[in-house]
Amino acid sequence: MTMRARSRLALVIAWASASALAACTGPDPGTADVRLLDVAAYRAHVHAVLEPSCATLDCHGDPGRPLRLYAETGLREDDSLRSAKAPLTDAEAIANVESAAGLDPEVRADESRVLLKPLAERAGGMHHVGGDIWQTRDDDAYVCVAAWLAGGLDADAQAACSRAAAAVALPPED
Amino acid sequence: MTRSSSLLIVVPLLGACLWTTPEQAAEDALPYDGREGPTHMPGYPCLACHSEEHSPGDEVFVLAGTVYERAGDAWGLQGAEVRVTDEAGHELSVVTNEAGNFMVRDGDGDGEDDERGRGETRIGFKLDWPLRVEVRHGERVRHMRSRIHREGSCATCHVLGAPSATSAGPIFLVEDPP
Repeated sequence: MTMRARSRLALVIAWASASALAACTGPDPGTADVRLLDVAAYRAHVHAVLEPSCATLDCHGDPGRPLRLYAETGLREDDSLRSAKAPLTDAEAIANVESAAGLDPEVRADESRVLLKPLAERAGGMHHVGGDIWQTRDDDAYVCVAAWLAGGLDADAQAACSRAAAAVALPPED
Repeated sequence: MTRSSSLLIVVPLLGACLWTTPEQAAEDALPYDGREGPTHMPGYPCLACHSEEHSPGDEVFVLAGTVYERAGDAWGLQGAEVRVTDEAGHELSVVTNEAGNFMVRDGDGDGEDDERGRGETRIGFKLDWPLRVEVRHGERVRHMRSRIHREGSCATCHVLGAPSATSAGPIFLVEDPP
């Protein structure tokens, strides 16, 4: 892990610790502070859901867009990562988590635009220039990301992440 | 500074802000190559001048780009077939022209290349994004791994020059060994 990645990880941990200390009661399911996000869980379960659906260069791989996301096939943090076809780095994963946490830092997890923008408006979502990515709250991808934002990727949620990732999996490189 | 001289500075600046749209700025940033027609400006983002929002070039495309045989080639590859499948299962095919350019436009068409050699096809349906793309030339086939979610100009993400943090590099068929 690079110095930059370590310093970012320390920042996330410090932020998470401060938020935990400030809390008077434990978070209710679905209402956890979205700043308490788990980078390891993001890498293990969430990134494979978001990369194909959200993180392309023409969407949230555009550094000027809200919820800027790094991905192997999208935006990289450094030119050399593209030419090396390197996997997502720790620094990129942490930056993605910071990006998700920073989108709506003051709201409950189930009110975050990370969930509401891709959700169809008829299902309670918000208008999204990129269209309706998840049709209902039962969509595996919604279940996966909602559980991660709420800080509770249990076995059922992890299974939802796996199904969602398989549904949008990128083809192998030629 | 007098009030009148201040106005001389402020008014043009204000005018520049009010009258230069993002679309115009994108067009102005392109190095016009002096050519006309379907072989001009290979490798540059076509919809900067050929989109529903901004079309000083008159022709309006929904998808357009340039294919190269190798990433570092100066001239595009003629005769490459670009196959596109949208989310609804619609398929279209277009064959690149002598500059390597291809373009897809709305119209009365079936998605087959109906003006072979010109690099253009018309589709009779509205594209349902995201799109999956593959490029073929002879026996060579390359599949685009990620899908296109909203950008009709291939060169917005496939920028001329070396791949970078923000660009996948030009669309090409043959990858030279490192």
